[in-house]
Amino acid sequence: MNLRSATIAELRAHLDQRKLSAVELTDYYFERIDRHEPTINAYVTQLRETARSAAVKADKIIAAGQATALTGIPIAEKDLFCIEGTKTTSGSKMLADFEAPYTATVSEKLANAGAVTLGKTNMDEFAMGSSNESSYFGPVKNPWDTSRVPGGSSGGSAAAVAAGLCVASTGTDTGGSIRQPAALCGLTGLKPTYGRVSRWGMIAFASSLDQAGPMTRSAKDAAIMLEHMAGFDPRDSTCLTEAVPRYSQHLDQPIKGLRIGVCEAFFETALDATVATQIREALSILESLGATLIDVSLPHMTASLGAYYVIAPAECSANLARFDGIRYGYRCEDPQNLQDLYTRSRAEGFGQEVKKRILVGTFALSAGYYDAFYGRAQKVRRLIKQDFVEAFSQVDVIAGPTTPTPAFGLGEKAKNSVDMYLQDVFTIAASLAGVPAMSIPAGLVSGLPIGLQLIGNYLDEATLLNVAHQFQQTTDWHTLTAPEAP
Amino acid sequence: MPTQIDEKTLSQMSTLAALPVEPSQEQQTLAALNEVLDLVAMLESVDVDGVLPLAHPLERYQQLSTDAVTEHVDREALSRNAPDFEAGLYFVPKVIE
Repeated sequence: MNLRSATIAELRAHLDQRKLSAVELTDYYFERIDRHEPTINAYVTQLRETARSAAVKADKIIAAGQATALTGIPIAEKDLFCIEGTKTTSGSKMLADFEAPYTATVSEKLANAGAVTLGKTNMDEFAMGSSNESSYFGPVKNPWDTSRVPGGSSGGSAAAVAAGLCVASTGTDTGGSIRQPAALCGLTGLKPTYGRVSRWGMIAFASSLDQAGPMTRSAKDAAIMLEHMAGFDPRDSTCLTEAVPRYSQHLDQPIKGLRIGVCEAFFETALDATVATQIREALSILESLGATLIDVSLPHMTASLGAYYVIAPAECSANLARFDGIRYGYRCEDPQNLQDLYTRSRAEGFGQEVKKRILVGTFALSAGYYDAFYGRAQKVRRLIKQDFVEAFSQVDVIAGPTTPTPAFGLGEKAKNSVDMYLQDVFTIAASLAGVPAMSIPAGLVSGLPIGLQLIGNYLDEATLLNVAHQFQQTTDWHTLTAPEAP
Repeated sequence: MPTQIDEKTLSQMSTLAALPVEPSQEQQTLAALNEVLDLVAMLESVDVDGVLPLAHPLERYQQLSTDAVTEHVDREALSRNAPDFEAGLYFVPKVIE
């Protein structure tokens, strides 16, 4: 077995058969981190001591025959999940020295399942970005081509898995922040139904959109991760109470007769022609597995980018109002008075993209503009949701591209933010509707990975994962590994 | 739906958001904000007559919990991240002269 590209499922067998200990596996990954991290920059913080203790504990649990699917598996966590006593920065100068006083529900669940957290991964500042270039801790490089971005905002989480610096990772997705980097780094990434996973202890960007999910090397691994991350949490009042299926036990259903919706609007926009060809090929593979392709219409999808860039900034402006330089976070030097303390701490603590979104959100929520911007965007959001409700009355899954192009060059879209926003043109609608969606590897374009996006009905992650797993039984795109970084 | 933010509106937003914009950055900031508003203008073409706003994507009500203490706040742990904290108090510059 090649440890560098091994999946959770493969490692489980090796750990349980004592061919490998959790400590050896952890050491193996830290050796890789030592070698490749200076180039990739996937981690903000490495947790060597706690990881080693967790690995020692995992070996005891394995020896006692009480291992879960995740016991001893080295993972990484996006640096917006609070882990008690650990630096949690959200990619911002504002929180560069913040040490979390409690642990996020997701992180707690993964730790309780025995996962070994190697570190906290780099990300766009406060999860605002699609390239990981807005991080205070420097850009992350795409392991497939280190002159290119890994996508964002969960770029460090994606690059860490793709570069073989952990086995799986957690990400969060507000408008595409799991699916887009998964596509650009050749991974499987899943954004669950809004509310499926607790947001407690997750640093907020846009609360009605944020959702945590797994980034992995296969659909089976995503299923294993999700079943350990999801579930009701009384500490998050938006968390859903529905029982969590054992996703990993429902991956072998044939997809013969499954109705897969194809929205032609996905192919009529700025989609790169080569990506389009590759996605059509992926659709024909699904068809060859017995699925039926059906045209569906999502008439308001074209307005989703507009609705998102009102709603997400509006919610971010409210959420980030808490950073005032008093209770936690960055404080400016020698404040002259209270107002100076507030304003200078915020001006010096936030980066450009975050400041821009706060100002846009403040505008959209302000008296005189609220109805025209925020109110209208929320109405459009309902129309987008209704499009999906209508579509899912005809089909089981909707399939299309995840991103318009493969990974772009570092700095290429830095000058034009709208160009950057267009990266999420295919992912945002599912976020606004709150439906689950995932990206799976669907081929290479000029040597770079691209993703097939699968969108499911509310709380039907099981069908998404089953379709993805069946696709991965026929294709080997997900098994390709990025070249070794220098 | 106004499509552009001008200097006066930017100044108001900057005050509301407690985010000062340096005079040297003003034009650049205006251009960046107006670029976003140009994108958002696509919402104007959507017919939203009679459509109700959607705040929660699943249209569920927030979960209610029983009115009982389930967790205790560890004030000491929370205060460790405060830039200036002493004797149970958060310190700020003098407010009353």
